[in-house]
Amino acid sequence: MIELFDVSKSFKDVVALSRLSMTATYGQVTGFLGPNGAGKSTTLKLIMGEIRPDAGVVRVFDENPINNAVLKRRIGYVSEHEDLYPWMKGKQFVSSLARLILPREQAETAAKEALKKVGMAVKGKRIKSYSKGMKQRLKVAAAIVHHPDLLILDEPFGGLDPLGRREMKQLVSELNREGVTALISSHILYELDEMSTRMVLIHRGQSLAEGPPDEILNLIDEFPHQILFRAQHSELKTFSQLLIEEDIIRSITFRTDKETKDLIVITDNPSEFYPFATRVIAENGLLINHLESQTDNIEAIFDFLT
Amino acid sequence: MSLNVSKNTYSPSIWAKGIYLGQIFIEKILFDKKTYILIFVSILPLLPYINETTAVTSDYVEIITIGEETNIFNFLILPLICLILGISAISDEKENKTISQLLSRPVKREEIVFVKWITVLVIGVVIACLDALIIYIGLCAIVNDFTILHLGVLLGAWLFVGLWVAVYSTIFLFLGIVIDKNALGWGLAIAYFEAFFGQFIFGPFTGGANSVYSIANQIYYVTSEYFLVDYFSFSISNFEPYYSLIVCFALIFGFLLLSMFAMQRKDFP
Repeated sequence: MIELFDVSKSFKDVVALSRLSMTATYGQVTGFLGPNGAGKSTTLKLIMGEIRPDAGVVRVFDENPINNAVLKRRIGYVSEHEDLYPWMKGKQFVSSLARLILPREQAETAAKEALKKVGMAVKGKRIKSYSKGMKQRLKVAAAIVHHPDLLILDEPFGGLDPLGRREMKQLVSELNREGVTALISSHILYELDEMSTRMVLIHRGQSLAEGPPDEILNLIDEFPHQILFRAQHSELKTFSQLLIEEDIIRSITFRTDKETKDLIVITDNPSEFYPFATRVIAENGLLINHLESQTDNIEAIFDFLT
Repeated sequence: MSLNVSKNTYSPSIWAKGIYLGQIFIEKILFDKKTYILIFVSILPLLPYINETTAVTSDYVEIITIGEETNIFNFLILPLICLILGISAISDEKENKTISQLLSRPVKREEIVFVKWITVLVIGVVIACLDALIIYIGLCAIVNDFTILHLGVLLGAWLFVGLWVAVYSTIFLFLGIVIDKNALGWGLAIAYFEAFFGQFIFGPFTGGANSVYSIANQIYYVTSEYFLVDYFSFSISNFEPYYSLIVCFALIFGFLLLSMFAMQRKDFP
């Protein structure tokens, strides 16, 4: 379905991709994992035909994606950017773009369905007043409005709270069950492992490994993982008390500055920790504003793997 | 399920796509504060006359086309309208990254350029013609004498601003595609270099006469010979009027084709 063979891409003096080869196969949810700056977004833009490779071959549904309008009917794309029209309302945004693919009446109905699917109200405010999470959902709605065969999501969990992340994962899994193939990039491994049926690791513009998530997890679980939680101090305190007795926690540290309160958790067993933490947050109604796998640590994992 | 069978085979016509993309662009223009700066700037030509009602005895042509002194309408407002519309058509989409939304839809890149071009022309001509009308009526109102102006001048002026918008907007549309940073600044520099200095730089090479190398001069020549024949006189020595017309159309369609080609080859990282 998606094939990249020996693809290289540079921007002036910066080498973004160097002889990258990878595949995403039909019917699968492929997790595309790598630290920030690894070349994930560049790869996805090549697949979308927004940029051209300097060398190598990119094929999507066995076609060249550059300026290929017919191919774009079959693809839904969520970019990493906030590429929205801020003056529009949510439904207007989705239906305006849907009209480029669907008949007018069908576009209206499809827009309503897509918004409902991502958990957004049809009647709403202008996009400029949306939270980051709402904007992310809206982008996904615009990407799935025409029922694509292939869904490409670039860092779709950015800006979503833990509940939003869980809903997004459920949505991708549901779409996959309906026959949609997905390629999802993230720099956070444990955002991908639950829903991915396949995983591609990328680092410094090169593909490191491809395979079933279990194999990739086994490699990475050998390395301690650091996660940052941000919330009100009282919420973090409760949260830390609920975590502290668990065997999977290696250490818990509070970090406070003028504006933020952070809780840093280090675990030896991230594959168990993430579902556990999500469950604890949900069951105790904790308001965690921000969750982040620490980039330095992810980079360390990749360095460890290479 | 077959791998190569698309679920959706409907394809809107280029005109339908044009209307939808044009609608988005027009809404963007209405939402953009630059538009309101343009409208504010549009009333500038009237300001010098507000306290000098007796001075408005000359022909309206003096204000709407090339005047003896500073001509605000030609050298400020028209380039500004063309610049902002032309550059913002693609450049703003690049800067805001919304171009990604369009590129990920089943629309060819050259279709995006063509639709934007048509929309820019329509909006540009409407704004410029409205400006011309406001100046026309405004001047009449200031002196309280509607007999000093002629309908023929207004119609000719509309054709003049239409041609100006078509030529300059297409050039700026191209600049907006090829220039990644400070496209508006570059466009401004080029607009004012062309409008103010084209004549002075290239003038000496044409023996002090109106320079054939100035785009503004080509438009004035066409205007003088075809649009405002009885009201305005302008010439380029050793150059036929229809040559100027050909130059103007060559610039319009040449830069449109260049824009399409540049868009096809462009990376949008």
